[in-house]
Amino acid sequence: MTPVLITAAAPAAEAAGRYAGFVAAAFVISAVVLAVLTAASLLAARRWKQEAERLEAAARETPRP
Amino acid sequence: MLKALVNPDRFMVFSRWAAPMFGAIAAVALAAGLWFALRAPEAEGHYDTVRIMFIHVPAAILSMFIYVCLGVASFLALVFRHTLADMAARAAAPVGAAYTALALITGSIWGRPTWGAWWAWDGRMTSVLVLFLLYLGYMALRAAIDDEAKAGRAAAILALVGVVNIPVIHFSVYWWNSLHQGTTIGRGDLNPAYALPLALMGVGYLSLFGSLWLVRIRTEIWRRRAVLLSLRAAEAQTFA
Repeated sequence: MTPVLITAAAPAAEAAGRYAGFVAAAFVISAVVLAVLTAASLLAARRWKQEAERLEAAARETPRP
Repeated sequence: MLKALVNPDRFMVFSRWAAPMFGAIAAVALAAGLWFALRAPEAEGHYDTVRIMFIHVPAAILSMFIYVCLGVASFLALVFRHTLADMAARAAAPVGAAYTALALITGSIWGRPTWGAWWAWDGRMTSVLVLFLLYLGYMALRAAIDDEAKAGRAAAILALVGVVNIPVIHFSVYWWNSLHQGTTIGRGDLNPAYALPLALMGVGYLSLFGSLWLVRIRTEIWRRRAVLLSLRAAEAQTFA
């Protein structure tokens, strides 16, 4: 087996969509991973922001010894 | 500019508008890239698997780029004791691990119809797998040590040692007999029909990383602030 360089478009696609299942799987997995990563990042940001603000408010209300 | 951003308060002001801006650029670039990617002509010998290139190549390039960012941040944290650099290193690792996992998974999906194998212990694939393990090792090491300062220093040393893997990944296709193709981008022999979707997806992946990195650094700043405040509250209760 030798690597084939992707440099040229096929002159005639005799088997169009031959590996559509593989292509779809790659795109779906990528979309899911990036969506989960984004959602996890945003949720963690919201959670820690709220926690920090809550503790800051509590610290302001608590009289210093 | 970087000097100014070392201050967490200034960083918070900057990242408040920069993170959504990068997120918007990522959304537009990924949507446009996807549009062109799914309409790109099939490639000779690869048929429609060529479309996997539009998500595999940006993920693979970004996985290395993020590790370089992690290495630079670790260096600054270790040598200059910059707290924000330590936070930046910690924030970059999960994003880098996700991008590397995507490069491995999409590469494997590409390999099955193209080479007839899901996996081969080839120089390029193995060195990218090592990169993924370095990301996991970095995160595990940080999580395993309770003292944040010690955890940061130990993980920074690991990250800096791991930087040696980046040139190995890049040159692996030239040093060893590899199934993986060599550099196509930048040599000027990439079909123009593929250049536009690849560039758009590249911008999208890069901007998404920029946005997520900033969001995660902000999260780290809030987390450390919350930990500090809860410690102070516990201390105040003890001495009350």
